[in-house]
Amino acid sequence: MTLKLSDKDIALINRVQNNFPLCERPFEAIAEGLGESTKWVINRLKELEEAKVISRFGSVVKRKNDSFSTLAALKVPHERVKDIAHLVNSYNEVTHNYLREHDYNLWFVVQSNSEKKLQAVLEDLSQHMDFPMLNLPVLESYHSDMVITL
Amino acid sequence: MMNINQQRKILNYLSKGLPICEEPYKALAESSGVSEAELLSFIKDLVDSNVISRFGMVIDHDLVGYEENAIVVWDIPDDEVDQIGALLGLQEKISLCYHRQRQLPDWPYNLFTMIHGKTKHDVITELNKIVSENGIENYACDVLISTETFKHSEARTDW
Repeated sequence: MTLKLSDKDIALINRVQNNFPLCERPFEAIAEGLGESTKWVINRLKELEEAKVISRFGSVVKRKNDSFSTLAALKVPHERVKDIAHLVNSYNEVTHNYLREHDYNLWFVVQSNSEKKLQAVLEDLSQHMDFPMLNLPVLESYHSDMVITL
Repeated sequence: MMNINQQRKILNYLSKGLPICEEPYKALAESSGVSEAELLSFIKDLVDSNVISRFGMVIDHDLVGYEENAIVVWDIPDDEVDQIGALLGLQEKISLCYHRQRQLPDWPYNLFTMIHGKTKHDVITELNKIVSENGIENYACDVLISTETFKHSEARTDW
């Protein structure tokens, strides 16, 4: 279900996602910047938190340096997608798995605390099926933050 | 000066979440035995030194209507990929931008971006805007729209 947001809501959400004021009364500072009352800001944010639009107010930590991950893709015939997706999901190391419109149609992220375990998952997977697989590890990260301006 | 236990406690609280109220930092400062000024300057240091990548509110994009995402992949010459990657990483609707290894001959693309939108149409409109505004019309690209989610979990940090 999607919540209906007004332009005021959108401005508020965009303001609180990043560079949150570090002062004793931060919501007062936000309200001033937006030309709203502090009471409205706090009440609206509480409502958005209750509606789970805001999942947390705090810190976002970078992925730990001791974790290894890769993006992998499989070219799976249409009629096999469901059961192969199920097989891929069965590995605890798989954190994300999406069907996408492409010849390579099943895209999943594998994450582990060792490179060896990561490779073991991919090898194990390829022993259970023989569809073409891509393994696309990151060489350089330019931007990684699931914050988007609405 | 804060000791390591106070710092740990604060970090733990910040990752769990603060209350939305007039003075959200006050209770944490008191229970950690530090002044509010010390707490605020500690959080600022954490952000400045990149220990935490962002401080603020985490939004569930699905619930505000941003339900569609596409991985858009590009084939960029190796000597230009850093420059174009840094540029695309700054775009408002791009959340992830990575240089990944090509896998030739099957996979020629080396720059991966994730673009978000309310509808598939919005995602494509945004892509076209990014392409024309950044003058990257001449590079081969491909769009991988998601049509079904089989698994979506928070990245594991509990090793």
